[in-house]
Amino acid sequence: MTLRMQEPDDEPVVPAVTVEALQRALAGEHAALWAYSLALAFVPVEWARQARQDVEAHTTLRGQIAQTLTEVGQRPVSAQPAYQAPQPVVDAVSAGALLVSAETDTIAAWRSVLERSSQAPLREAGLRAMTEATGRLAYWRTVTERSPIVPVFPGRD
Amino acid sequence: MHAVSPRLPGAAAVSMRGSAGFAAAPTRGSAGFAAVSMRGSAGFALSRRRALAAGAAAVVLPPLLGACTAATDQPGAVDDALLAMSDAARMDAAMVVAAVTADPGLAERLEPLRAARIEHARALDSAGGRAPEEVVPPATPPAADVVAIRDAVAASARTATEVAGNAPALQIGLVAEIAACCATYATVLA
Repeated sequence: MTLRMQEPDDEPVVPAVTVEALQRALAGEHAALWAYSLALAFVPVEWARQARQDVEAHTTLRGQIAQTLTEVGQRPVSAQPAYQAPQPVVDAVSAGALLVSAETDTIAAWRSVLERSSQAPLREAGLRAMTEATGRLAYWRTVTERSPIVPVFPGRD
Repeated sequence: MHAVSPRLPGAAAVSMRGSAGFAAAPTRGSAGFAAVSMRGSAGFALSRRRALAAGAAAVVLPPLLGACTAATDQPGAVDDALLAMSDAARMDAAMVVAAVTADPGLAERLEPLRAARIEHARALDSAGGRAPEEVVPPATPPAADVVAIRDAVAASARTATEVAGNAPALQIGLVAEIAACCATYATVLA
């Protein structure tokens, strides 16, 4: 349900469910950036090149979501002081596995944004984010020797 | 597989629908953010002037405030679109079979795509209301090589992207997953 606040002229409104989904996507980007920062300490040089590109992509997305939230009068959720990896990260392969998890989660978060927005531009942005994350996920699944490289339904476990 | 989660006890709990998510340990059932207070419960308006100013700055998300509503109110049209996507998925799979028959060396590279497209077709049939016994096998595909398959799957990604623009909330997640999967295969096969 979308209610409209009393405004002098009839303005477009971002529904609360959309705002909540964007906050979760932002939380996902924070967590992904933490995951990359940890993984970078363990991955070999050739993976690190990819990881740094991915960090750039997540940093850009994080900024864009935060800005969007700010523009609709919401305070963007902050990163948590600490996170916990699902499995211990002790070497290159476990670091890659952490990134597989992180990208899978960001895809799920963006899917949730799509499901909770009716504005075409936001849907386009969300789908683009899902597709780009699936590309990154495919890289990390490749180097950690997972099959299939591209998940049938990206974002699901 | 549960992914990265906030470590502090009592940290804001973020419960993601469906699979993984950044679920904090002590969620006590409530989804959503402790940290984010939703003033009121309604929506959030933005003045047109601010929206215009914002549009110049935010690159990916910005025209978020476009007034147009994407979701269509015509379920029949949506079902048709989903079933057309399903037919295309089976045709992609048939092309893979043709390519692998011609060159068995391609099997390892292409079999995951075939399997994915069959799963996509099944999920789309279900979403579009087509029973398994109503499935018509695809026509015999033309001789296919990796390039033709890549082009076909790229076209499937584009179609899914278009359908996603108008899909209702219930179906958009599936359509988007298929779009992302196909687009990534198009890249991987390049």
